[in-house]
Formats: sequence, C-alpha cells, structure tokens
Amino acid sequence: MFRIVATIGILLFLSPLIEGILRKFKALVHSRIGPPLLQPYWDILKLLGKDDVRSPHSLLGPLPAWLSLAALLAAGLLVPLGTTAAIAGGDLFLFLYLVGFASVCTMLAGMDSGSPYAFLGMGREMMTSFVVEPVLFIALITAALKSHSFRFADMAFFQQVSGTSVSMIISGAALLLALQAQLSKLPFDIPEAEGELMGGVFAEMSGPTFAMYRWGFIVKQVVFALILTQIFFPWPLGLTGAWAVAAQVVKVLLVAVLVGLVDAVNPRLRIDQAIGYYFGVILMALVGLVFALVGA
Amino acid sequence: MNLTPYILFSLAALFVGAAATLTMPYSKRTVGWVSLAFQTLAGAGFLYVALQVLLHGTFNPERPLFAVAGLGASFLLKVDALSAVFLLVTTVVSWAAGLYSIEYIKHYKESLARYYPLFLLFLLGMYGVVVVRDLFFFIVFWEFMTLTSYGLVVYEWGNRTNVNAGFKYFLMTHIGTAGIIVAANTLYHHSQSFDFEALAPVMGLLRSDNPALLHTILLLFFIGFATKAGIFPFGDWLPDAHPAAPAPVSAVLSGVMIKMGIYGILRVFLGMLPVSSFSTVWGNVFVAFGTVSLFVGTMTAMFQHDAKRVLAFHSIGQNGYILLAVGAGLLLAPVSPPLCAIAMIAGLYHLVNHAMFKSLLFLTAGSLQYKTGTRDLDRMGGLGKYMPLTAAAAIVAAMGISGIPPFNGFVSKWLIYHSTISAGFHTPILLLAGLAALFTSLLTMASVMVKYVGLAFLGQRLPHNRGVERDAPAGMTASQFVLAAFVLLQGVLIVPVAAALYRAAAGLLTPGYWPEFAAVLDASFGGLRLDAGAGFSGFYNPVVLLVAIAALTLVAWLFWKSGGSKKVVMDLWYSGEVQSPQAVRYYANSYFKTFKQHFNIRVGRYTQEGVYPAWKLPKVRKPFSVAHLLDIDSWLYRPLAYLGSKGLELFSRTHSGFPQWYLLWMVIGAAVALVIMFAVR
Repeated sequence: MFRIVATIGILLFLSPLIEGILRKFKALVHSRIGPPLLQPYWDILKLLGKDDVRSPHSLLGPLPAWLSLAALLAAGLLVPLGTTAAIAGGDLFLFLYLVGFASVCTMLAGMDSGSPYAFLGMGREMMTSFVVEPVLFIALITAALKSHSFRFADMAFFQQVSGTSVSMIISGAALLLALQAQLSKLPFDIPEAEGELMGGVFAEMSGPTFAMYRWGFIVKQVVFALILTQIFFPWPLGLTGAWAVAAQVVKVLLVAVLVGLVDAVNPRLRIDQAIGYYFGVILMALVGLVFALVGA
Repeated sequence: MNLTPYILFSLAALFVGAAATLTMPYSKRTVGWVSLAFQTLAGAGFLYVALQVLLHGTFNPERPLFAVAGLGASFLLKVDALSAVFLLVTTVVSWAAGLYSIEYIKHYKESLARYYPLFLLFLLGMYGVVVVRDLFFFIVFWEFMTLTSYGLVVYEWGNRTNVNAGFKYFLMTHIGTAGIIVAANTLYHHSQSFDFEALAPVMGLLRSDNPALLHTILLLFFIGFATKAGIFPFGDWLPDAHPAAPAPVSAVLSGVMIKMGIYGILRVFLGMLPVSSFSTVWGNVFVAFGTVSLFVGTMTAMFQHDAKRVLAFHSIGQNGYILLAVGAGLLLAPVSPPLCAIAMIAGLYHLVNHAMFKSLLFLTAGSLQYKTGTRDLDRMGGLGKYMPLTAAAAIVAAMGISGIPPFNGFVSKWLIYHSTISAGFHTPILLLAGLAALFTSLLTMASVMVKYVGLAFLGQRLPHNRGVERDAPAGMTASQFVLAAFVLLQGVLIVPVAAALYRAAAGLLTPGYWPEFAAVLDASFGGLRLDAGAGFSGFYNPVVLLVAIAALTLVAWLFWKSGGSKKVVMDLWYSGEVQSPQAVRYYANSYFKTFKQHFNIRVGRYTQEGVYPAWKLPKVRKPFSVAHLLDIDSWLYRPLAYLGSKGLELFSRTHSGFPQWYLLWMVIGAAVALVIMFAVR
C-alpha cells in the first residue's frame, strides 16, 4: 500500500519538475531565459482555480478528464520505479490499454465539445497513434519475448541478469523515436498544433478540466521515460539501493532533455509526412523483433 | 437427470408462439408482449437446461427420440457445456432483442405476421442447432435458421436494396450449406450414421486411409461454416444483410447466428477430428483466414458511414478474432496443451463477449434509426444530449468492443494476445497474427469508440435531428441496459466465465488431454494469472483494477474540485465568425482520411475505397417471388378477402326489391333443396 501511495505521489508531484527542467532547457536552446523551474506547478495551480469553461453541446462534462488522469496513474502503477513496480503483477497489455483508454478519454472530450478544431485534432491524434502505438507494442513484445514474461518487473530484470542484447537496443531506439510523437512534441505535435488548431482537442477547454489533461500529460511523459530507461536502457547494470534511484532520475532527465532538444530544433511536420516516417520506425521495431526471435 | 422434457417444452413453446403470433388480431404491442412471453418460457427452459449441464455435467441420452430409418438419421439430443454456453448466449441476446422489438417494430408499415412468427422460428432453429447430436438434424435446424432469417432480412420487402441483400444472403449461405450437406453425406457413406460420436472414429480412420478425402470433407465444412460466420472472403453477404434487417434482428444475426458457424467449426474440427497433424494444417488455415478477416473487416469499417454497415464490418472483424483464437488452439493442440487451452478459452470468451457488445451496438444503431429515420451517420450528430441513456449504452458497448479494461472485450483480447504471442518462438505465424490483432484493436477503437460514438452522440446537433428531443421508448433502452450489464459483468466476473468456457472446450476433446483448469489459469487471486501453464506470465484482476480506477478517479476529482472554480458555459469559438453546425461538421469520410488512403486498392485508373472487395451480384427479379411467398397478406389474405367481398356483393344483387324475383328465388331454392334431398338418399 505504501509503495502505491508513494508511486502516485512521485508521479503526481515530482513529474512537473521534470517538465520544468525540459522547458528551461528548450529556452536555453532558443537563447531565451525561459520560465522558472517551478512554472509547471504554478500552471496547474492556476488552472485549478480558473473558471471551468464548458461547451453548450457537452454531454460528458469533466468525466473524461478525471478518468484520463486516473487511467494514466493506474498505468504508472504498473511501471517499475526504483527497483520494482508498485503493483508487481503489472501486465504489458493492461498497460497498453490503460494508456489507450486515457487517450480515448481525451479524444471523446474533444469531440464532446463540438468544436471543429477539436475534431481535427482528434483525427490527427488517432492517426498518429495508428502508427506510433505499433512501435510501442512491438518494442514491448520484443522485451516480453526476450524475458519470457509479459510483466514489466520481469522485463526490467532481464537485461540486468542476462546482459545487453541487440534486439533490446534496436527496439529501445525505435521506442525513443516513437516517444517524440507519443508525447506530442515537435516535429510531431500535429494533433495539438497551437499555431493552426489552437490545441486540437483542448481547443475549448480551460480551468480545472484542462489542468487534469495537462497534469496527466506530464505524468505520461515520466511513465514513458521510465519504461524506456528501465526496460530497454537499464545501464549501468548492477546498481542497487540509492545509486539505482539516482541513476534512474538522471536517465529520465536525459530522456526528457533529448526529447526537448529534438522538440526545440525542429519545425512541425504534416500528418502524412509523420505517417510515412513512422511506417519506417515500425519496420525498425519489427527488425528488433526478428532479432529477438533468432535469439540475439 | 433427464432434460429431454425441458428441451422439448422450450422448442414447443417457440413453435406454439409462432403459431399464436401469426394469427393474432391484436395491436402491435400486444403481439410483441405475447411473443416475448413465449420467448421467455422457452428461454427459461433452456436456461434451466444450460445451468443443469454446467453444474452437473453433460446431458447425453443413449436413445434417440425418433429415427428416420430410410435416411439413417435419428433425433439424438445432446447438451454439453459448449451447447450450454450457446444456449445461454442465445437466450440473453434474443430476449433483449425480443423486448426491444415490441416498441421498435411499430414504426414499420409491414405486417407483423411476417415478423414475430419468423423471429420465434429463427430462435427455434438456433436453439435446435446446438442441442442435437445428429448431423442430419443439425443440418435440418441449420436450414431452418437460414430460411427464417432470410425472411427477416427481407422484412422490408418493398425496398429493392433489402431484397437484393437478402437474395445474396440466401444464395451465399446455401452454397455453403450445400458443401456441408455433401461433406455430411460423404461421411455417412463411411460411417452409416449421422451421429457425431460415430463420425469421430470415421475421421480417425480416414486420416490414415484416405487423407485427401478427409481434407476435402474438412474443406467443405470449413467453407460452409465460414460463410455463415462471415469470415472474409466467404462472408460477403454479411455487410449487406445486417443493415437490411430490422435492428433487433441484426442484433441476433450478429450476436448469435454468425456464431453458429464457429459452433460448427468447433464441433467438427475439435470435437470430431482427432488431435493430429491435421489439426496443425487446419489450425494454420484458420489463423490465416482469421487474421486476414479481422484486419480487412475492421479496416473496411473505417470507410463506412452507414451506422449498421460500420457495425456489420466489425462483425467480420470480430469473428476473425474468434477464428484466429480457435485456429491458434488447433495449431497448439499437438504442441502445448496448456497454451491450446488458453487459446480456446480466449476464442470462446471473445465469442460470448462479442455476442453481448455487438448486439448492444446494433440495438443502439436501431434506436438512432428509430429516432432520426436514417442510418447515415452524416445525418446525425450530437444526439447524446437528447438520448443520454442510448448514448451511455453505446459508450459501454464501444468500451467493450475496444477492449477497454475492465469491460469484457479486454479479457478475451488479453487471452488472445497471451496465447498467440507466447507461442511466438515455436510458431512465428501466431506472433504475426497476435501483432495484427493488437493493431486491429486500435482500429476497432478508432472506428467504434471514436467514429460511431463521436459522430452520432457527441458534438453539435444537426438541423436534421431537430425533432429528436427525447430518448427512445423505455422498452428499447431497458433492453439495452440488460446487455450493457452483461458487457460489464463478463468483464468483472472473469473467473467463473473462464472456468465455464474451459469446460465447454474441454468437453470436445478426449478426457484428460488438457491439464486441469487450475494448471492452465491460476484463479486463486480473484483474477487470472497465466504463468501456471507453458505461456509467459501475465496477470489481470478486474476487481482490483476497478477499485484502483475508482480510487484514482476520486483523487483526480478532489484535485479538480479543490480550486473551487465555477462552471461557465460558453459558445464555441470559430475564430470570430459565426458558423452553422453543418459547415463545421467533421463528416464520416474525413475521419482518419490520410491514414485510410494508404489502404485504398488501386488497379490502373480504378480505385477501390477500402480493402474489402465486395462482389456485386447482378440485379435479380427472383427474390421478389420468394419474398412474395412469405408475404401471406398478399397471396392469401388479401385475395381471399377480395373474393369474399366480391361474392357477397354478387349475393346482395339478389335483393332487387321486386316481389317476382323473390318468388323466383324461393322456387329455385325449393328445387335445389329437393335435388339435394334426393341426391343424399
């Protein structure tokens, strides 16, 4: 029980800090001063206190917002944090579907508002996930085949025990490429595209409802960085205790910085370009899978 | 325990119900209630039979009720756990559809004499198929089911599209059934019996004596059953026939009838065919057809804008999932019995789940049609605010079909992924199939959860739907909630369901072939754990998940509430302009267009939208006469009434008002009476 509460606490209250560092770093690349490190906290706090703007066509209200945050936190419980996950039996497919549920909630909320921008954003988000989700699940299935288990705990353990393997590195690289779109960062922030769609599905949202989605998004960022670093890049191997935690924090920051760097130096692509690009990444993930099948 | 009386009672109840509703002169609603009463009687009987079988084991009487000596057929009953599962599914889905019909069918102009009697006989056929042990009577009931459902598909027989769809259905399923009949007769030639239990050893003999013949027989069975199950490319009738039928009939067609194809496949390929190299061959075939079907069906659904056509294509896709799991089970049977068991449980679980959520989706599509008068998703929108109950039911069903935990679709998909991907090392085809299934699940989510629900229920109300102010009648929403409850229950009570399905599949095999249930799935946690068998480890406990989601939602709600912000309703923002709902509408065609373009088939200048090449049957006149035959009004009642009234009109002319004529009539009458008297002497 303590582990569960601690994990939820860490995910909710520490992940905005990582977002803050990421933003600061982006500002540095842009030669700006950038917002203070704690800005994401102030953003969430301010949104929680603002008026809750609702569309007159809304049927679902803020329900999808609560569910989406809850689903992301539940998914976070399955992911190993430190040395083990809060819920050790965490199953890969359950994780995939919980994350999927969270994004369905976002899309439903967007359509619920009736705004044409939201519909456009929803369409783009769904299309992005058609090509990005396969990378995610093929990479994770590669890990599952290698470790003979669908549980994250066993997958994270695998490279610690049997050393680095080629297939895991290839899938890890593919997953890293997919992360950019999974987290709606440039050049793949097509669903939100502030310049043209005013935030896509979030076009009509404000106040606490929007805060739920922002917060969930920040949590999702950390959860995915954790999966990538824990399962695919567990180096340096053999750390224990406080060192393991420290290494993990550094690695998550590294992933965030890397994602932020790509975000800072790229212009936005069109959706068809993104789809074409990710077909290539899917192929790469499949190569990783084939390597796993032949035992590499 | 002798269950024969219960089975016969239930079948008789349906038959009597059909006769009663055929002749009833009361209001549409009364006839509906009477039909539902008979259906409930029959359902109660079969429910009792199914529960008895699930609790106390197979009911398998030695002696047939009667035999047709000349044909070598005997009416043998048998209800094992597999039949019991089908009885339960049929009862639940058809009962909800029956309740739904009472209000729904009122908006049709056509005569009810062609609806309820056929509906009840259709149920009789489906129940009959699963309770007999004799291939001859199996085919008899099978035909019964096909013919009555044809009558229901062409219920609106004034509509040419429907009649053509019905004819396509009639033709294609009969080609399939012809194959089944040929296969059955060939087997009879070797066994001198149609008894399922006598056919199994014959298949064993043929396996060594004449493998080519056995493969041919199995091929015929496969094509016949796959046609019924809507498997691509045999199930081309399905996307036309489902939209043509009235919604409750579509629900039963899609929820139960197409599953009878899977029932037949299980009976023949698992129950009769001994586990051998033949299982491997046919397992591969099933996996290939299942995978193609699930991908093609679901992908094509994304191109549709007719509500029921979207759902019909999903039936092809979801049946593909079931066939894939069954095929995986066959393929793994010689290799790894525990994985085989998981795959079979997965297939049956998905079958049971699909029955619930797909029939529920068809019922919601029916409610949309009832309220808006159209099935075109482009002509409805934002109805959720006016039909909240229907919208809730549709969202629950969409959660089920998309496999969102803790709804039912997740459990079966989870089992399918586990059984196929675990086998990846020794059978890579299954790994590929598993990946395709995972990807397709995403497409399912996109086209049901996002597209169907989004277009019909969310967003702005279109001017076309201005008349829709209230939800569908209570009877219709109530029946939807019955099914919605099952969608949730089957997702939460997974241990008893999985145990029952394990027994259903295990009963088909030689006893002892499969490991015990506890050795396949570890259920000691209240959830299911998979590392007991040969598969990889995995774990799912819906109750814990439900509690966790509820608690975390509460946490999110507390934060949401904490700022004390107030709700402000504001009009939509169109960059400062004013726009009508149609002008800013995101039409069905626009959904995922960029992605869909990758799946158009181009041959030269010809472009096929989507990946499902449909066969266009030539326009035919024939079906009108068949439909005419079923329209008793037009060839029996109306001509009789016409003749009657004409005759009476002639008779009334005798009343001319002149006394001379009356005297003449009296003389003629007396003469006729005399003639008769002498003649009788």
